[in-house]
Amino acid sequence: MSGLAATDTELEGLSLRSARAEPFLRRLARAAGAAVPLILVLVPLGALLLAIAGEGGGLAWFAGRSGLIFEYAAGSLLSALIAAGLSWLLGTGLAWLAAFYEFPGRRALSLLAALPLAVPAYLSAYAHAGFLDITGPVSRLLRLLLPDSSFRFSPGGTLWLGLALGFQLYPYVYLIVYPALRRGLRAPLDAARVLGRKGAGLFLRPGLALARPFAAAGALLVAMEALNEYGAAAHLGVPTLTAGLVRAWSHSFDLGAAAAIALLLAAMALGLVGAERGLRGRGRYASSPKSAQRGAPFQRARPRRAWLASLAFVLASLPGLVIPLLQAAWWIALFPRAPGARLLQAAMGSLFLTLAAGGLALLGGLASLLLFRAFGGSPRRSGFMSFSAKAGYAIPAVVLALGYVRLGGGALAGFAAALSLLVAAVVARFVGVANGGLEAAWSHRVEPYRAPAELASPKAWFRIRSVYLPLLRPALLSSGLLVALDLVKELGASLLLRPLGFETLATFAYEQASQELPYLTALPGLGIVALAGIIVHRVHKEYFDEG
Amino acid sequence: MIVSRMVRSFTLGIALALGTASAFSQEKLVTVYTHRHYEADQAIFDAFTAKTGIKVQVLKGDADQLLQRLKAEGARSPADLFITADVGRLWKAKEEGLLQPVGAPGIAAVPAHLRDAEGFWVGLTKRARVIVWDATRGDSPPVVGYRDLASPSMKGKVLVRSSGNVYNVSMTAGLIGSYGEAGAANWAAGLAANLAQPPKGGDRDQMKALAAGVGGAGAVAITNTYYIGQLLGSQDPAEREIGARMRVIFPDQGGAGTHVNVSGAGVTRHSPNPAGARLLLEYLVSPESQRRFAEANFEYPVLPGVPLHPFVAAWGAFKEDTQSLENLGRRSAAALVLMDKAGWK
Repeated sequence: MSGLAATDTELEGLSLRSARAEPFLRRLARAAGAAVPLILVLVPLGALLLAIAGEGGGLAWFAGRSGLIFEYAAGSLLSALIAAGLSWLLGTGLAWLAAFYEFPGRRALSLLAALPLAVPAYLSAYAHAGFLDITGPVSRLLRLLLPDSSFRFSPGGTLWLGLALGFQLYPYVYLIVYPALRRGLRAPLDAARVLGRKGAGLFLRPGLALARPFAAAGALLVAMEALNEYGAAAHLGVPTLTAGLVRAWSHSFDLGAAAAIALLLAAMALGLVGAERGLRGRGRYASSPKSAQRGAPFQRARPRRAWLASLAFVLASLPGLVIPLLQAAWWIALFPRAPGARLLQAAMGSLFLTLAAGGLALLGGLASLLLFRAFGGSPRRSGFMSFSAKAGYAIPAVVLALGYVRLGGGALAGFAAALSLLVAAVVARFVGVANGGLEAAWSHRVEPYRAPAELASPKAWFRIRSVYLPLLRPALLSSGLLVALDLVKELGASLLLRPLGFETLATFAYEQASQELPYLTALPGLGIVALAGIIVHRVHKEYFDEG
Repeated sequence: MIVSRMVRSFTLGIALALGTASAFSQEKLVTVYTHRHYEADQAIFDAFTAKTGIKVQVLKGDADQLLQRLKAEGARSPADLFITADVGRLWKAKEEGLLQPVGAPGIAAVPAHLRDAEGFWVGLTKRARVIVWDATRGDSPPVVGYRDLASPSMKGKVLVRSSGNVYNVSMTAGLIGSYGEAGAANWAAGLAANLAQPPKGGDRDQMKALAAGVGGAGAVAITNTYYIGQLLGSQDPAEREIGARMRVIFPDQGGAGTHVNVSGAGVTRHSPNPAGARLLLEYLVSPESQRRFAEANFEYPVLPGVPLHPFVAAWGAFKEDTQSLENLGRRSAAALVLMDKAGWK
């Protein structure tokens, strides 16, 4: 590495030369890298806005409904904040326990705590309702034990939705904070230990502060997912912006009003992106997938505390994983059905979408990053790049898909064209997920070697092939897995854009749920959880295994 | 290795699917875009194929999304028949110019109020929006019509799903016809003030909540009839018990009659096989299919004289609101405005 070292003066000189005579192609490549993800979003949105302008409608819908819009916005924001807050606490707390302490079943339980991410929130909401309603196992047991009791469960409301989403999505924080604690933050935490901090004191200060940028990045993903959630919010009767959007579009047939609500939703999502930047301060999130570096040895806690730590992991995974699985098993026992050929066909559809769109999203994220970074995009100029990459994730899936429907027009009638549009829509939505992970890995692993690499070779392609790609390789796998996880559960775009004869496990489950027969969601739901579970397992291995 | 094998088998599956589709000439294939997800429907399509040799290809989805797709596909759309579970969507499809007159003589047997006056769509099944109460929780509540649900005496006693649900939108649109817009607005405000709990879940969930004691004695729930049938016909004894406890009140028997909505279908404007679509439509309203709809899904057939499912027959005959269903679609946006303003979530 020392051979590639450069002095500050040399670097400054290089930078000045670059600024003076930067080739047009280099600037073009950088601009393309930064703008491509945004273009994938803006083109369909433009098509949609043109359609809306042609059809009229819009602001009239809001007349007399200002209070309602406020209620929608409050419902969305509150549930997203509750979910993000709970995820922050749970994710950071569990990551801390898993990162530093030895307790019974540590390895298995650390995977269990990540698995709620494999369960789609809307299926989980159906399962909770079934679990707690009068025909569910809990009420039956209660009636058996206390025949005269009039106690009943009534899940619903913003608080319930926020907590349910938090218990479902906290692994985003957990998976990001754990490797940071084991590796990146090890040195400052060791220093704090030497200075006398230990146990809860070490966790509360400086642990929480040091983990903040990482927890904030995870909590942002949770909040974005929560803002986008429709199925669970609708089932729990919570007025949210997504519910309002569907209401305006579906029942008032007012695309203009739906677009206005979508813009409000996108503004809220972008506000959350800003809040995340504020919360993480000058700290910077960088994912740290498996590396050759071995973390510190685990501390052996006193037996009682060790068992309490194990219990914490089990309790955390109850609402988001164990209860939905138990309820699915209960439904299958009560309403036995053979899996059938459709389930297999749907599983193949999910697999295809995950592999094809996941691969393209990853390639897109990588190409976008390399074009921007390898051709001189500096961290200081990365604001637009970051916005561009995250834009797709901030737009509700159904809105983006509708834009692609408008864009596709008559081509949708063809199998291949419709499938291509579906893939394009989900790539537009998830390229940011791929890009985010790669961008973090760039800052963390590649940026320190960029200037030396530029000194070593003036050829960008050589630098990409010989330096950047090898350094980014671990992040490619971890980012790809995160995209795949989203894709297995994807519903909004698949429902609207899938070609005739193409089905995914999510659309199959939706179809069953539409009949108001939630027990029919058990089999496709388990299919999704199985596929997503394999991915979560791989993510867990990637983040938790040490060299 | 496993992944590449799966991709290969998937590609083979796609190729087979494409091959199968192209093996059918256009006259031998009818493509249906449908919001109905019932297994009974597939059985009826299969029976149609067995009878005519015409294959039925189905794309299921949300009605509004299917409408958007039909619109976007335009003249290249492969859809021949559009089926929804709500008359409001049929009206919208006609308004958007996405349907063509059915022009099938076989649908003449369907009563006029269950068809579009200009022949753009026809009802396939009827569903009545009724009031139910739990027979194990006290005497019959003081409710004979929709208006009673808004009475102050019913405070905390009414269970109903979200106002965003199409069945509630169409019911309120129907009440605009009966009470006028101001009257319907007052009714919606009264109803919203009487709710036993914030609206959540579906119709079956309202009945389950009623059985669990939400609202106490004298509480009622609003539901479509076939959901009661689904509870009564459930594989789960606990659901069957809840279904058996429900007593049905057909509202407004002394007035306009109980609100009915239809599942219906129309031939799409750019149908590649309109003749096949008409044949299928006629088959869907034939006594044979109507009997299947009634038996499998506890819906009311649109064809007079077709026997009802025994569960449905046990609730007795009722007077239905025969106002033009087209009006329900036309008034749906107004219905939603007044429900929003009333605070019915």
